[in-house]
Amino acid sequence: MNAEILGQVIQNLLSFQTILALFLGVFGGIIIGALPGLSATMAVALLVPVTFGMEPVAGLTMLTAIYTSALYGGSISAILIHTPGTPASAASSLDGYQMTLKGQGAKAIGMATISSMIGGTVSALALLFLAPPLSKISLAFSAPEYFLIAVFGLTIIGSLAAKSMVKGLAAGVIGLLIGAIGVDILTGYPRFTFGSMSLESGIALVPAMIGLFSLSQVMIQAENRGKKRKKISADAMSGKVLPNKKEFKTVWVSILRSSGIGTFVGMLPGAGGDIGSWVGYNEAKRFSKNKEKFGTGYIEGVAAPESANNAVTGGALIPLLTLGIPGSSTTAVLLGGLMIQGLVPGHELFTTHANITYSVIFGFIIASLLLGVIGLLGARFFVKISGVSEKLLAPIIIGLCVVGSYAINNNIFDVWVMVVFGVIGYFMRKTGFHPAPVILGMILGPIAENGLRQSMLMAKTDLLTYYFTRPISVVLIALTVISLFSPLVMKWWEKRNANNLDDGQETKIS
Amino acid sequence: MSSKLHQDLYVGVIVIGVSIFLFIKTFGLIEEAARYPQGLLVLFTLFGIFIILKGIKKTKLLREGEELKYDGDEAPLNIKLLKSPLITLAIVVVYVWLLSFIGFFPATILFMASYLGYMQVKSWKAYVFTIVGLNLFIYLVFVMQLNVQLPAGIFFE
Repeated sequence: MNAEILGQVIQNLLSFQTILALFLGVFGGIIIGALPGLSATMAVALLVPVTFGMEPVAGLTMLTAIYTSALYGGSISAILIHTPGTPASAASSLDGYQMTLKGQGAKAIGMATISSMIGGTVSALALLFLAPPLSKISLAFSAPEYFLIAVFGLTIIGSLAAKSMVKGLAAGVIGLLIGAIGVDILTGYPRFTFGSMSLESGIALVPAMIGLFSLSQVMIQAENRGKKRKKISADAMSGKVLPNKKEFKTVWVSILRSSGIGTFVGMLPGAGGDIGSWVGYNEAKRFSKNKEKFGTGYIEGVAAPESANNAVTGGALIPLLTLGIPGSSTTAVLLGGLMIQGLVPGHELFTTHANITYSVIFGFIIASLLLGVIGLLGARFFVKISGVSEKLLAPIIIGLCVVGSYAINNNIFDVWVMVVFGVIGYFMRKTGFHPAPVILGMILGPIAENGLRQSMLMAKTDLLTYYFTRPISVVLIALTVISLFSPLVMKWWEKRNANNLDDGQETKIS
Repeated sequence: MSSKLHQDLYVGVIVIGVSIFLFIKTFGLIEEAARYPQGLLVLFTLFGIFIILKGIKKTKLLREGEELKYDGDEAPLNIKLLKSPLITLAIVVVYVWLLSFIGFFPATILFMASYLGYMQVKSWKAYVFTIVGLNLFIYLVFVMQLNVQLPAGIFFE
């Protein structure tokens, strides 16, 4: 990055729209994360239409700010009512909730805020320094590699997003098939349009994303109609929010270690905030002098997973921006947001579009810091927000789903697409599929098809032999095979975590 | 012995059925345009077969009286579970259908009031704040800021 780009970055970040986007992104992200049943993925999907009409820097900064803030917001309900707002906050609930029971809920929230801020900032710095050199790898890519990178991306998200690998991969194929709808660019033949003119340009990505993640979520929440949910007790936020100096001294090493772990885990495709926070928690426990205190309401047990899960965000953006491989459902949706702005992941992001990309990265650093400030100042307010009823949220989300789908092309057909995908998403989720591979399939489908067709022309003879003569292709094939076996490694991790959880509970009982 | 079938069996059959239907649809295309979707559909059929095989295993366990573990949002589908989501869907369908006729804002107000009623919200303040709040937000952000031309409907055309 040279001085000229730096000047443009400063100019971009000081614009009114970007500053507003940063504040709204962080504030909105914390609220969405804190609200029951709402996830970072859903928030990003719902807000892509809003950012579509904004300047790319402001729009993308807002989306990344929402991503990191929503992960933090999810810890509020995890700590205060033992109900994680996002899966990434599950580890924080172990000690966080015990602290609440001891009357230290406010301190647990304060520690979670500071740890999230540090974790997010460390990972954002890693993104700033690691992404530009890594993006050069994409320079060596040609048609065969683009095909293989699409296959690789789909196998990792497919094999990890759902509990059943077959269903995860099948969801990826559904996405590829949906991506094939419309006029075939090379031959001009309409495919799977069933005579509809509206389908000739294919299925619009944004309405599909909104339906799959947001409308389906409202339908899932509707199952709880008439049921009462846990409420935060009035004295849960008693005491001071800020931890004292002595407590800081005991946790700072853990925070830094977990920030590093989180960033690394985030970089691994497919391993999201939930895995990052558990690894951070386990490692903090392993290195701690007070192992026996973990699980009993120990402040280090909040600091470690919270810094790790927010550190995952910056790490996950590295493969996304450099190679176009999203490691989690939120980054898959973010990839959609990026593409809609006309930005394609790879080296060009750091050369041709350097001023936008670096502005977004610096915006992400500022968002992580802002998260700490807003989180600490508004802790008690966010706790109140997390008590808002799902009954009131549902019609608001549906209203936003409708207007968001319509706004992209000013087209009612897109609203119907959103509704259809909402139904598909609901039934997929209820039968053990995950919607993230569908979205990724839709994005990567055309890239995969073009890559495959072009490499068939380039190969002239046997396609497989051609692939094996290209070193990067061989690496990508190997990575694809590894990603197919990664669920086994994940199962091992889960078993280990379950054992550690049992240990913690045994310690508590004794 | 229970005659219950695990839902994966139905899912697998649907996957294979959809694959066959779409495969037949590719017959009308020229070979170059058809090859890629045909390859995907073969793969999709294979996944369907795997899902059925898993479904057979799970059905056996169900019939032996074992309780199966469902992860995340997955749950055995039945009328009781589906009732509220399907009513929600019906209300959304009517809402979207009304958009073009009576316009975005009247349709949204009508939808929100009826959905809040369905969700058993009783406080009139909740109705006012939710309906006014969302419509105001949409007007300020989408109409004023992003210049989106929302459907005007018969009242404002």
